[in-house]
Amino acid sequence: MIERGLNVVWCLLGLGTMVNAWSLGLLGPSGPDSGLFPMLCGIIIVICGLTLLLRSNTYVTDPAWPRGGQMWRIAGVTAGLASMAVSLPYVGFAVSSAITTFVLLQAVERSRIVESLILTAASVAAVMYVFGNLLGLALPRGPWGW
Amino acid sequence: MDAFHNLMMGFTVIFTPQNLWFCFLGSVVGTLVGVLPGIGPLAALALLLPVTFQLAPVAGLGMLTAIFYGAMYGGSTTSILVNIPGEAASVVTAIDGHEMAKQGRAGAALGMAAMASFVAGTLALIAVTFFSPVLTAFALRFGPPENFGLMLFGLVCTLYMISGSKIKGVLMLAVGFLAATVGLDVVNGRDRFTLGNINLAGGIEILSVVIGLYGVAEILVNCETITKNHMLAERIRGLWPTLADWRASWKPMIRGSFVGFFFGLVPGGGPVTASFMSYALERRVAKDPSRFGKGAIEGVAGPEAANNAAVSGSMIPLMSLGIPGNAVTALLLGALVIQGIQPGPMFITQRPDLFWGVMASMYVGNVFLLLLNLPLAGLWAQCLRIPYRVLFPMILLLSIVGTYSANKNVFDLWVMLGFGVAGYVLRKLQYDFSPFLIAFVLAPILEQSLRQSLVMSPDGVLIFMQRPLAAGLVVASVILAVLVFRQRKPIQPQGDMS
Repeated sequence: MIERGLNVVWCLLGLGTMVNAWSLGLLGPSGPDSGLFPMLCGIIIVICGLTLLLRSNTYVTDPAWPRGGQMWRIAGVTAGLASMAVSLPYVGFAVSSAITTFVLLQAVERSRIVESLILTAASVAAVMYVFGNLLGLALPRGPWGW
Repeated sequence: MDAFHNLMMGFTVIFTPQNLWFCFLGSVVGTLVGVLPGIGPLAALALLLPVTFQLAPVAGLGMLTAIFYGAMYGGSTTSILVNIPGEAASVVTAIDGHEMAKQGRAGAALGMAAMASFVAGTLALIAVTFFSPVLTAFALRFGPPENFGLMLFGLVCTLYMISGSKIKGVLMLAVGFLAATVGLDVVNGRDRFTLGNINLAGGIEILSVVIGLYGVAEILVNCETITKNHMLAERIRGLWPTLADWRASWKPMIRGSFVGFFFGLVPGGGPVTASFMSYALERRVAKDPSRFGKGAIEGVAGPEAANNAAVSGSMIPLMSLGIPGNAVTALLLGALVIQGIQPGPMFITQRPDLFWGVMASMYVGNVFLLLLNLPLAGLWAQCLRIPYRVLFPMILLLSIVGTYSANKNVFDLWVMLGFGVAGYVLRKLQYDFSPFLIAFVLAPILEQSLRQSLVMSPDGVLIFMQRPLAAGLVVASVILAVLVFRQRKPIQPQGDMS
């Protein structure tokens, strides 16, 4: 079901690309225009998407989708990364990464609290030291200056 | 002799404390990555790519290539000792290597694996040293139509080698090309597929793509299970193989070096294919093939030589033609592009310091790896005790910081997350990402070659048939494409080494 849906998405993506490429123009006065290369890509995507949709032997038999606890762990990591992307500009790297790492270690890896605290502190400190100090990357800081 | 002088110049470039340190660091990280099953060389390279931004190109590229071939060394250790291949190219080594370990000959297997890797790595590097300039001299005659033909041929070769559905491979190629066209068209400055989002005007950041597809997707796959690591506490003795072992292994080592070098050279090949092919060859030429699978040392020496030689071989199309043969070399090409360097026919003449410096760093890295892997094999095997929850926060934070470091833009984190989730779903549906990444990296040059060819031709696409070399490459691509779709069985398992 998911694979069939994905194949439909490929077809729509290819069609959308072709329409957009057409509007960009395929050939201009000085030769090929911006839309030519994307048009070729769009055509290939549509052909492949349709082939995958119509040929049943290309479907993966019984893909190992996550269930129950596995699903929760994956959703947890995805939500953790998303929350970090949201909070990073407001609270800075140190705080957002510490909270995310701690929560994920607790919720996803089921570590003990002390172990999670140590791992969080060590990981955040190591990354900040390597990227912030050694490599001179300006990591985002929170309102309190760190 | 020129190649020899140039190589000596490369050694003077690499013999600085900073360059040697990063080469050593790459060897250590590569071995660790090869040992640990939770993270492959590709994911490690993607995560550590941002570290190289602040380094001199020789140090950065030397470190990344050391991770690549270091993983080949490290992978054999856990394959032999605990039957857990740390990375895909060592799967074959486990067959006979682990049998040898069960018979109490773990030391001999580990020693031979390290020596075979060292010999093959060195032989292949000698070949690279003398072969690359010849190829470059030939490639200097290439114009846009020939470049287009060559890249087309390389892409079709990639499809020939991938596992699983070829249609999915072609689809990934096209989607990779499409993703690379997002942003301003460099020819006329027109917006393409940006959806009015200013963050996309500069295109999709390569780091977001590779860290998403290989880093985040890997984290999500690993999160499905809470892993518990078990290790053997056995002492390893007799690392130096016996005279009989050497007698049985030297021919497989040489054959493995040739097989590996060839499969490294061919676009779409690489260490995984090379090791499987070498094992098959050794079984075929053996006087008693029934020994294989029961602890034959030839089954360790051949594949280990092949996977290391393939790493060196794959540097040739990358450095002299600017064509990555697999996902790892595509990533290395990305690293060079980020540093403002475009490999291609002019690369060796324009940047001899970088080319020969990297070549020399590979010689030095092989020596580091031999010293690291032979006496410390037991220690590396103990790294399997490291639980995933210790690595997990570090990988997670490296993904975030690595992606953010490119443009210091939070939008890139969302792109990374999007590619990560998409990569996870596509992996479940058995899509191979190698064609996507190679297409994404090559698309700007391919599109430029296509447009330049059509502009300079009064007869449109017929230009690809009017120039003999371009015509030959296009015809070869078409023939190979026909073979790709007539091929009934995939060549061998996952080729993306993730």
